[in-house]
Amino acid sequence: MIILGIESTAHTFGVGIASDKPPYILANTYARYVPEKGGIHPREASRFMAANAPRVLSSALRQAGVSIGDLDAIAVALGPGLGPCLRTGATIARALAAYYGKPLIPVNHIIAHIEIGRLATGLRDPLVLFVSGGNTMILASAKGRYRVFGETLDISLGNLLDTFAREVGIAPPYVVKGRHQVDICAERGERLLDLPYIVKGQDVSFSGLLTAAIRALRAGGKLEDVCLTLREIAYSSVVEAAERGLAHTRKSSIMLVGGVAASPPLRDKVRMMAEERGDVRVGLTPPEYSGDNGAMIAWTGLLYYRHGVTIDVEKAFIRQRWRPEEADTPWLEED
Amino acid sequence: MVRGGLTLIHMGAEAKLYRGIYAGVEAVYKYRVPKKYRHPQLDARIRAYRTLREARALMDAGINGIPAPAVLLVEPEEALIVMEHVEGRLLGEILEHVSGRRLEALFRMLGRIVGRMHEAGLIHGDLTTSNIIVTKDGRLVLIDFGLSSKSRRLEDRGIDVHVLLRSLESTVPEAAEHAYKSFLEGYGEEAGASIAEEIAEKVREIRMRGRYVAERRQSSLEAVLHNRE
Ligand SMILES: Nc1ncnc2c1ncn2[C@@H]1O[C@H](COP(=O)(O)OP(=O)(O)O)[C@@H](O)[C@H]1O
Ligand SMILES: [Mg+2]
Repeated sequence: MIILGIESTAHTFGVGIASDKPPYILANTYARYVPEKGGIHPREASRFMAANAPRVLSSALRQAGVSIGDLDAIAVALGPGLGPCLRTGATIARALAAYYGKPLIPVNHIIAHIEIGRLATGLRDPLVLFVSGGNTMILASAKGRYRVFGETLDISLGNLLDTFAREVGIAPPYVVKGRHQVDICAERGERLLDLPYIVKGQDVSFSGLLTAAIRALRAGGKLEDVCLTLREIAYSSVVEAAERGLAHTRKSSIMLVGGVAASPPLRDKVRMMAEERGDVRVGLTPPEYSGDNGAMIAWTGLLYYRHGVTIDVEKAFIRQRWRPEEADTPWLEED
Repeated sequence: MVRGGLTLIHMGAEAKLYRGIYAGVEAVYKYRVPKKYRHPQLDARIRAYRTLREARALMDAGINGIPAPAVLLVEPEEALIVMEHVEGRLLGEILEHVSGRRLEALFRMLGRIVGRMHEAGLIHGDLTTSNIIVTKDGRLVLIDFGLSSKSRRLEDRGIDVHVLLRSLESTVPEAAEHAYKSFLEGYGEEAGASIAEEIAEKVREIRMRGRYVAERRQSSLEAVLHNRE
């Protein structure tokens, strides 16, 4: 069984190819849109995707050594995400499915992050800390679905880091050699400032921290100290929320996924938390699968296809606000 | 931290809880443990602050007729609080086994308690079913006030209720809606039906946030960065 998957929810147009036999992932290629200034402009991002799609698609097929005829089905991330970007991916997937007569499989982007993480880390039933530019969520399986145990009440962790870095003029580029500018700057920080640390139940909130950090800088605080404080508060609060999730769900492992999962200080904090709790296994998703990628859509598409889940091309609408707990996950019931 | 005559009863996410006798009373010792993953300064600040917050809120609750354990001793620098022991089971543990009338009665009662608490200007901050004790005689007692705050804002009340609703949805999804309805009725009995309706509306709004929606994200960010300055 061979499935091709398309990811286009935000800044990445990714194509992956998955097989039901080892090594499972046959190809994982992408083109990433980086705005010259400001945040993501959805329309610009979608134009970038349309322009790069043919190249990314053919390089995935080449990488996997298969032709479109060999594919069993096409999977596509229909949400959640930015409308124009989702529409580009969906249009391409629908066209491929219709033209080549292949079944189409709808995939929820967040579920896909979790499933590729499970494949890569080998963890069976972890608590999931999903941190990216668009999302910050704590999830775990319960009663056959992935349920949300905590999330941000305003902006995401990735958004906090990017916006701060941009506002204070240390980005773009946001990430250099796998490290975020805020992480790099924080290493030279010496003093912890008094900025708000907000955890509400299992939820976190970052917009107050963002404003306070910018205000502290304008009031004459040292950039390095502000970065250090921002990093410490932001990462500690998601790790605390995750620890609460572990206590609440009684899961015995934790998995870190999403673009921000690549951050070394965040990884260290997750490891330290797990170590202190004792008997908690840690799964760190490798970089090629932690950010947005096509392989995760292909792999999750494969899980659906095994359960006979497909969608009519005419009914494959995008869902910008698709919640993970609204998505069926038939394979969870059996394990 | 082992002291004479204390037995560990719970290892939570942030605290260790021991059972013992304090001044002749059946007591719970709650000690907030240091976290290595937090910067030591930040860690000390958070533990002392939450210990103090919890003690103040427990006293506040007592004054306002909101069922909560009485405070016996507070040591903010030690991150230790000693309170009255409440005999019973956690709401979260019995929820699987209640339904129908009994479920309605429980959540109506909870709604009344939370409505009264909010009317008194107290926000719980971690209102999950693991922080509510059901006593043998069927009363409800609120615990774990470390994340509480003083506020009358609709926003803060709404988040309290959102946290409760999500804890229901993630553990007993099939009963959540039913329980929530009774909760809101009880809340309305204390705070007034129109406030309960405003809260319900606020909760709906809160649930639209933090979701990956371009327009929302852009506009909320701009508000944060430029207008509210
Ligand atoms: N006053 C009390 N009387 C009886 N049991 C308590 C009391 N306070 C806490 N507990 C028990 O200890 C557990 C953890 O206490 P809590 O204050 O909620 O701390 P945590 O931050 O670890 O959740 C509770 O779920 C409850 O079972
Ligand atoms: Mg608790």
